[in-house]
Amino acid sequence: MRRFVLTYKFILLMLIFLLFVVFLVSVAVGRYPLSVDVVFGALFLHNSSESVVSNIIFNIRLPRVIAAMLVGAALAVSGAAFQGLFKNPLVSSYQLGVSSGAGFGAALAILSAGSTVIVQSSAFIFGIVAVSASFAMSRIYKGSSALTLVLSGIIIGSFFSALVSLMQYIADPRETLPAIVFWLMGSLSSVTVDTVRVAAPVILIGIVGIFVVRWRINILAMGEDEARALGIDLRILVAIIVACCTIATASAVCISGIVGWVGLIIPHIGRMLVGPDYKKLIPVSAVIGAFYLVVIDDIARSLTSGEIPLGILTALVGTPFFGYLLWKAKTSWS
Amino acid sequence: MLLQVEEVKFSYDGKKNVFENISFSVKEGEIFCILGPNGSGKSTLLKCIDNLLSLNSGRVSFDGKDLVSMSRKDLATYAGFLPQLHVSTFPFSVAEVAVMGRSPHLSLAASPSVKDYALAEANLRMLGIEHLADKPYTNISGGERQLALIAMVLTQQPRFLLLDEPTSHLDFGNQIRMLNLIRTLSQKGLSIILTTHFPDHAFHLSSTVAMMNEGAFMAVGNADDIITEKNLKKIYGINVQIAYVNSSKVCVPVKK
Repeated sequence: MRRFVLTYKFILLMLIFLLFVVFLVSVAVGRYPLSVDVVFGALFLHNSSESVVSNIIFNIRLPRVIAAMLVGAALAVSGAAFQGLFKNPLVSSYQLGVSSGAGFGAALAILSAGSTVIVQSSAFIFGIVAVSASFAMSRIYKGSSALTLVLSGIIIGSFFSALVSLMQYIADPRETLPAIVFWLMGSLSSVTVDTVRVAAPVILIGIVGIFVVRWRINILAMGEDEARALGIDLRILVAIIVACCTIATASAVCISGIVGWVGLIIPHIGRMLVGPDYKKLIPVSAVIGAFYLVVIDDIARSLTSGEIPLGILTALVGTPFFGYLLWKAKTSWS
Repeated sequence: MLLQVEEVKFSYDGKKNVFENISFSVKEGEIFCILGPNGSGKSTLLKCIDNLLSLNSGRVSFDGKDLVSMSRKDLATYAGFLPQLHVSTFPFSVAEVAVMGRSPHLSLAASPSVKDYALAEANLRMLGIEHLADKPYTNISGGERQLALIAMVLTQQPRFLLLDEPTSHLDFGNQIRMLNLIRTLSQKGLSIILTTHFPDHAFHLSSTVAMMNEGAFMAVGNADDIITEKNLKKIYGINVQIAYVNSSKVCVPVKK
């Protein structure tokens, strides 16, 4: 009996189609609801509509929806890449301390009363600083295995977490403290056209970089000696992967704050659909990650009259889902 | 086409040598079997030949090309390495594992093409495991996994195979099948260096044998000349009698 097997290309096309649908719907939903055909007309047919409508579409919703898609894709792709690099399905995009570093950068800028742009730049810079520190620390040791990189990531992450706590401790509890706490919970509410214009190319460079070397992550995941015996220059490949993941996640985190669980669970959903081969897993993870975060952000901005922080929603949805994955254990790993 | 190992020495800590003063060469189509007890340094030597560990002194060359001057990619077109007891975290399919052997032939940005997959599948067929192609590598038996890795190494199309205990963890029948496979591959012109715990396997392959003990080659030569009762007693510390069964030599441990 031949089982009907969905081919990879069909799955990927279906997912891209779904992403497109959810993209249109997401631009339509909000406090000022628009119909999907108005949105479609404005975006693709250049139908002129009232200026208030086009203002909502092009200056408010479109940047935010695009940002959500890019952040989701960046976190999912880097999470998948790190899981292969560290041969561990339980690591996420934040394994090397990018979130703690960015959190510290943001807190520092908020304390010094910086503008949104300064907060974002500071978060980006310290995210990169944290990962660079983890990477440099792991290379001090001879051999520099993936395990030392994980450990360095934990050490540097904890160091920056402590600094974040210090910033919170000295912050003014009426003004700067809530701002820091809110930033750490993640939100896309401050996204503007300019944010997307600056961050999008950087995120895309990181994602494309991983996409280019994706098949080699399979070989990395087989083990270090095995990969070297297969002709892989580990130092170069690991450096490429870490660099691409870092610029993608650091720029994602600097516009969204800390959004957890995406980089951990999306690659697992990807594996359930197309298996562990990174040649297929990376494109599928990117699309599912984008889809997932757009939907979560739609909920965040339209469920209540205020904004629900993204990190809270992704954790509330992510944790039970991960429990379900463990229970079902369809993605068999050892 | 020649592998030359000259006066090599290796130490993890710079104090105690794992092996030293080892020299040998392996010609095209030759099987070179390194026989020795646990901890004699066999696997370490094999890893050094593939530059997975760096020698402290001495020289290894493939066709006169010095090992240390070769990039990993270059080296991988010369030597294919079969690791001991490999486990994988992710359930890659057997075909996906086999096609990884194409890695040294593809550029950094490339993924395997239809041609590469066809080559991997041809090797699975040659090894009689084409029915496992879509099975997860993590859910097959140890013997099948060993064959999947051999398929991967053959897909690499190297000229030397470095096999670290290819017969361990295999059942009795699969051990002999593996030895027959090794012989077939050598007849196709591949040079094979393997480590083993079983003197009988060296007899079966009628190969060149190096007896390794405490980090040195005690004797090198034809299996018939080297595997003697006296030598076996020396490296394993047990009494062994070499008997003939239908003109095949076998080693039997005896009480004395």
